[in-house]
This record gives sequence, structure tokens and C-alpha cells, in this order.
Amino acid sequence: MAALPSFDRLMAALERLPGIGPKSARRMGHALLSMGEAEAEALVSSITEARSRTRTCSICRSLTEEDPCRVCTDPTRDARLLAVVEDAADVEVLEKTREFRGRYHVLGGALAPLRGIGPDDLHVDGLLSRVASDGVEEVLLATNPNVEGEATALYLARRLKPMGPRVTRLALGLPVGAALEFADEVTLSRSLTGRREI
Amino acid sequence: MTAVPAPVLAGSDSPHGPRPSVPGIPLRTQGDDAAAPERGKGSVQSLSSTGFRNLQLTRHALHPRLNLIAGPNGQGKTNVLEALALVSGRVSFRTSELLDTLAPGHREAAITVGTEAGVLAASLVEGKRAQLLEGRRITRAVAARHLPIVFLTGSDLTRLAGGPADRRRALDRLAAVLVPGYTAAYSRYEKARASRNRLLSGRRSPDADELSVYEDALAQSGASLVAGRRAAAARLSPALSREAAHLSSPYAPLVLSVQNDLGSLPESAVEAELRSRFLEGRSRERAAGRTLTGPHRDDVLLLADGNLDVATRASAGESRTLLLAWTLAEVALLTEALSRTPVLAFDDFDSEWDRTALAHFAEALPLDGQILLTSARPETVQSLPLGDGLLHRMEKGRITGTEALGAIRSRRLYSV
Repeated sequence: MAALPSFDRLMAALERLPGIGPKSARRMGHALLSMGEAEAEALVSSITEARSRTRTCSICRSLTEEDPCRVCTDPTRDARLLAVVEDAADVEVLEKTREFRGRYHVLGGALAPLRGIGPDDLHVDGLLSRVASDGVEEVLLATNPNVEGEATALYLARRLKPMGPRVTRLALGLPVGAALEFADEVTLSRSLTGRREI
Repeated sequence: MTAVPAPVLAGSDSPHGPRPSVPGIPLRTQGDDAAAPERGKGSVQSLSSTGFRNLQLTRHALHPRLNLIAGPNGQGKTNVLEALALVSGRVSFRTSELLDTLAPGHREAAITVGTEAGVLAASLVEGKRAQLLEGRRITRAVAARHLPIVFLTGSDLTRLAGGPADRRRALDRLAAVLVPGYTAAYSRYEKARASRNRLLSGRRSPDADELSVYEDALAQSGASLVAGRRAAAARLSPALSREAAHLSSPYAPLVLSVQNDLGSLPESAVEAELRSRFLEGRSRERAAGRTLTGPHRDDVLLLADGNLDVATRASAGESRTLLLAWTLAEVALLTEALSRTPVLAFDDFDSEWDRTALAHFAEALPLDGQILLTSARPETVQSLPLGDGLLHRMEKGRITGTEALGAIRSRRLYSV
């Protein structure tokens, strides 16, 4: 292909998005260029508008257009129950279940010494302040079930337990629709440990 | 599943006569064979490879029993075995850097193996490996169970006399199959150790609670490693003694002993002891910038006559015979644990080994297992009692011809 420096810059920008590799970036780049003028401008303005109107909630650190966010100010939410998640996107995922009626605290990541991320780089102090002063009775540690998320959950448990609340962790096990044959031994082992009566 | 007759293992009907009886070493008997489990479906039916070193293979069919990959040096024979190592969930026995295995000018590679129970694949992209079974992502441990392979390559030659890492890895490979949860414990231990090392070597003083998180993980997973290695060594020792006696090694019976400063501390106390050592060692290890104690420092010694370290006494030839015995023992234990005979992949089988020991080794292999040998001198295989199979001629990463090994033997016999 002839030299297209502006297209290369677009692909480089798209590749910085999570889960986007060179091939996906190229496909997305071509799709963006083949859009109609109005459609492309609508996309650009929606990105600009979303960036200008959203901010982080000063209480829970999730994304919001009003500060504090609707969950933090909703009187029907159970203020005694607090779910701790790594990223704002995790709040949306949990909200979609409509099962969780407590409030949230977004850490802004997970402990990762190998990438130089320590407790000071996360919103840990804000979490401890909320637990100390907001009448929280249970903290649900909903960090990801990977090495970094597990380490973060254990670290937070060490800090939170002396403060008195019940500290819980999301259950781990087989995903719905999975085949046992393809499950790894860690997942199966945790499924056995966390088995329940039906 | 079709039942395949249990293998006739070398014993009283061996052309070399009955195995020597060694006090304390159980011999394999006909009764053991009768109780052998139904054999599974683990052999390599076909192999494809693109972008991996110099290999260019498209669904190349292999014989269910014996495959001799022959060709001059540098044509890609060992690459075939290395590709099988990666597709079966193991690390390369040549390099720890996957990028080194890509063919020049390639950014990715794919290795695909047809087995009776499905297509197993390894995809290497940007230095990372993905394991697939029938197109679905699986872990390396699942791949290893689907296609169990015992390798014997040039990198194994230093196992007995070299540093502890090679012996530890060999025992760990076996423990991964014999001990439930071992692979997960190993992975957790290594990740926790890397994280703790980074905290210890960082500029800022590490957060005590953060260190404790990784020390808890190290102590829990480390205790599992200690118990798993002890269990694997206890299973391997009698099997190794039996095979060493069969290969006429002067060092049977043998005991594999896991050496560390925990001594004979009971398993129930190991976790607390490790946690205490990590806690007490913080300032010393902060100065060193890494974790100085734990199962990653274990050694595994091969002891004869109670406490004679065989590595300090055995000649090079005797060490190689013991390595053959170790391989036979690994094949036997995996067969028992997985209810299937693992594939044996033996690189340069005729270059470093005593002919008599090699013949005894070949005769002791189960009759239903698939075997892959590589050699620059294909005619040498005729002296081994391995059954029939195929000769695959290799040139510049391609198989340029395949013929029945029987034809080679006949030609050779007629020309003598």
C-alpha cells in the first residue's frame, strides 16, 4: 500500500485501545474511512461530548455525569453493602445483573508489583475512609479472579478486617454453558470447593 | 473406546532373559500387565507447522508406532520434537524465548497436531503461546494431558551431573501429572515470587501488608510444592530403581531425595515454617533484592546405598544409562497415571548412548506407545527391537520422502 501517514497514525491510535491488535485496528481504520461524512462527524462529536461531560464520582470513583453519581445518592441503595471493583467498567457489568443493591468503590486498577503498581497508586485510602465513616457492614471484594485481582483482594482483606466489616469475595467456578472437559484444574478445584446444595 | 491389548513389558520373555532381582525393588510382572488400564488416544497422527523455525509441514502423517526422522544435521529434525513440545503444553527444551523459535521474517507461527480425539494446536504470536483443542482455548496442563510426551534430548544429558534446576524441572514435570493441583501451585508460587522480588528490589520501602499478601501465597503454594515433590519422588524412586537394574546399572536401588533446609519437617508444618522464614528474612532479602529461601532453591539428589550421591561417583556412561532408566520410569508412571502410554520423543538417539543399554531400553518400552526418533544415521535403528514404522527423510524443514522402515532393513540386510 502507498504511504498513508495519516492512516498509520489512526491505526496506531486505535491499537492503544484495549483488546485491539494490528489486524483489528486496520479493519476499524478502513471502516472509519468508509463512513459517510455525517456518520463520522457524529462519532467524533459523541467522543468529544462523552469526554467533556463524564467525570469520576468524588465518592466512589465510578464514571458519572453528575457528582456524586446516581448510585451514591440513591436512597434505595443499601449503604451498608459496598462492592469494590477494579475499573469503572466493572460497575456497569454488575449493574446489568440487577442483583446487587449496594454501592460501589472503584480502585482504579489492581496491585501489580511487576508493573510498578502499588497500594498508593490505587484508591485504597478512599475505601478505608468510607468503611470507617459510612456505616459499611459488608465489603464485597469484586476484583478480577486473576493473580493481580486475587492479590489485591487479599491485601484489602488484611486492611479491612481489623476495621470490623464482614469481608466477602465473589464466588469462583465454572462459567455458565461451559464444558467440564475444557475446564482447567484451578477452576474445577474452586468449583468443587465452592459447591452448593441444590 | 476400543480396548487395546495391554503391553507385554520386558520380563521373563525378554530376549535378554529375566530382569535381575534387586532387594527392595518391585519387578514388573505379568499381573501388573493384566491390570494395566485401557489405553487412551494420545498419539500424533499428523503434524502441520508454519512459521516455526524452518519447518514446513502440511498434515504430515505419522506411524502409530515407530517414526524415524532422518537427515543430515541442521535440516530440522530436532525442530519437529521442539514443535511437539510446544503443542503438548511444554516449554521448549532449547530456549525460553518463544520469539527465537519463529522463522526469519515471521511474526507468528502455528503448530497443529491431529490426534484420534481431536486437533491440538499451539499458536505463537508476539512471543506468547495459545493452546487450542478443537479450536477452543485450553491451558498448557490440559494440552499436556491430552498429548503426553516424554522427551529425551541433548538438554537432558546434564540432568544428573549439572545444577539442581534440571533435576528439579524433571521432577516437577512428573509431579504435574501425578499430584493433583501441582501445576496450579507451581504457577502461583512463581508469580508470587516474581511479585515479591519486585517489591524487595524496588526503590521505595515495601508496604508490609502488600509483602504479606505475596508471602502468604508463597507459603501456601510452596507447601504444596514441597509435598508434591516428596510424593513424586516417592513414586519415582522404586520405578527408577527397577529400570536401572534392568539396564544393569551398578547403582540400583536408588532413592530420589528432595534436598532443602526443611529437613523432614512434617507437611502440616511446612506452610507455617515457610511463612515464618519469609517474614524473618525480609531485611536480608530486601538487601539482596530477591527471595533467598523456598522450594525454588530445592535440589533433587539421586542417592544409592542410603546416602551416596550418584552424580559424584558415576561415570559419564553410567550417568547416561541412569538417564535412560529415568526416562523408562517416567514412561511407566505416566502410563499408570494417565491410562495411556505417552509418546516417546528421543532426539539423536544413536549419538551418545551405549548400544547395549540402548537395546535394553528399547526392549523395555511398552509395545503400544508411539515413538519418534531422530537420527543422522537411519540404519542404526535396525538394531533396536522397536517394531515396524516409517522413515521420514528430512531436508530443509520439509519431509521429502516417507518409506516403511521394514524396506530399509531389508535393503540394508541385502547389501551387507
